[in-house]
Amino acid sequence: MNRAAHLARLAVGEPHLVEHRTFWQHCAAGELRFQRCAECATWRHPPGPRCPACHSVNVRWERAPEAAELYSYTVVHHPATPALKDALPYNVAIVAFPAAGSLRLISCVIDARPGELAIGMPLALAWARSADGQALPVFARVSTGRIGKAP
Amino acid sequence: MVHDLRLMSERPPAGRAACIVGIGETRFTRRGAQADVGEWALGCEAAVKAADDAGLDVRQIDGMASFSNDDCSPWLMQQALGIERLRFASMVWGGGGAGACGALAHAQAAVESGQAEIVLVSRSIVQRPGQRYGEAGGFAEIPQIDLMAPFGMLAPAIMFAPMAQRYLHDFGVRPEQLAEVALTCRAHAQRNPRAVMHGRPMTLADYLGSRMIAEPLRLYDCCQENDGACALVVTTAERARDLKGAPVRVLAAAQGGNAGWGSGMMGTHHAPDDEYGAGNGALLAENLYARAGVGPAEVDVAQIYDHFSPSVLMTLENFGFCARGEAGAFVADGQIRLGGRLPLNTSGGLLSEAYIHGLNLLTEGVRQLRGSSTAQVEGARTCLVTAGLGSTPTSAAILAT
Repeated sequence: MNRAAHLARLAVGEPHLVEHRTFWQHCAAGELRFQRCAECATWRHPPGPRCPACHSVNVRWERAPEAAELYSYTVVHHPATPALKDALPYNVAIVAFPAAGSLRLISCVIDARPGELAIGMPLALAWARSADGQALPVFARVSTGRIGKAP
Repeated sequence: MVHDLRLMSERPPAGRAACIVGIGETRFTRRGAQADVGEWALGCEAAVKAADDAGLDVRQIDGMASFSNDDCSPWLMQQALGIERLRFASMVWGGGGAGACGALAHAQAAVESGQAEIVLVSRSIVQRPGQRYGEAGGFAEIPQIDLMAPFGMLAPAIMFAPMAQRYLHDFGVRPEQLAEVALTCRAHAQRNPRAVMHGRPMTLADYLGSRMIAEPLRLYDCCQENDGACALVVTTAERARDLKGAPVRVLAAAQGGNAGWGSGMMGTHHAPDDEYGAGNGALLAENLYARAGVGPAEVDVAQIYDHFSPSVLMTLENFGFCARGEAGAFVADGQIRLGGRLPLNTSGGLLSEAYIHGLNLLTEGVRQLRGSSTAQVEGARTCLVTAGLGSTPTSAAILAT
């Protein structure tokens, strides 16, 4: 069964913040990249105009570290929109990248049953597609070895 | 960076110190029941009642403070109420109910600085279909929503749940302990005829049997969606002396956001590791106590923002009523019920009285200090009131007799 049917029902839309555009452009190219300060090397996400550590505006977009883990999560049983009524339950994952400081990403573990999620479990990057055709960075359980196809 | 909080605790001349001299409330109902009345009319009703309660003509209001952008803007309120000279108007930043006590802080600042003399703090709320807080449509304007909505993080329960999950995981809080928050609020609501959940008592079995909304949040861990309005009238101690009732002092009201939080749970969940599961209240608590000149030992009763029940546990820890991770045991021991160390949400809170975005926690705080609560804490002299936890800035206040 598809554990992430909700993703294809939801749209990314046009980001309100200019700074988010580059993030989604990299995703569309099949790459999960985060901002990293070109001066002091501090990682940051969500994208922003300056490094909060040194205030530099110089930034590189670096590939996310491979090692990811489940920092926290919820399993949603109640649809906040009628479009998700038959896509329940689904999980929302807060994914951490220990090699990138306290950087976190809101995402989904696409191959886990609700009872199989555990804080601290290792995860590997995979890809899914939104209702409006945007490539979404999602994650798979490392133990299954299942990695989604790059878009 | 270290700030000297003593510098922040300077008080104004005694005559200018801010007091709450009037409170007003409409009927509280289930969501949508007052949709045909509308936020504007409800807000006006609460404002007129608050002015009457203070013994003032509502036209004498010369300042307004609110949060979360309801339909009671200064221009609409001036139009409807005939306010004669508007000198101060403030809309607080901060997600949802995080600004409830912030609006009071702005009113306090306005009267203590002399920018206004009589400030109305109000919040009116009508949950229209399609824009309900439990639905996705109400949150499309969060600037970072493109990083949230595509993954189904669409409504506040889903936004709050991962923080709660991490907290419960880190400290081994059991469902039976968390239940005590919802059960306490529901028990207090049974004494309050204004509460939407009055006449609907709840058992532990009811709680444990309620459906999951977003794990670990069950239905009864989530506040209601309601229609209604509340208002406070804030003025100076000097002006209060000429009015009919006993004023309630605003000992301190403050806003706060910890370093590294950003938008917190109403955004992308990038709070610091050691604070993520604690909510965003530690700096706020330190600032508030320093400004008030009291500590947790002096707080007799509290109204804690309970949009989701784990928020109460986190807030008890942030504000020093128990050590980190010990709030589950504290509440399970009966300490938040009447007769406990810190009775809280004595009107039923947002879980069981009504969700008026936390402004009804301030009106209940005033009733406790007037001795007129339906769940009165005998001899209460100070009341802590907190606002929505998890966003930046959040806010809190300490009221006193």
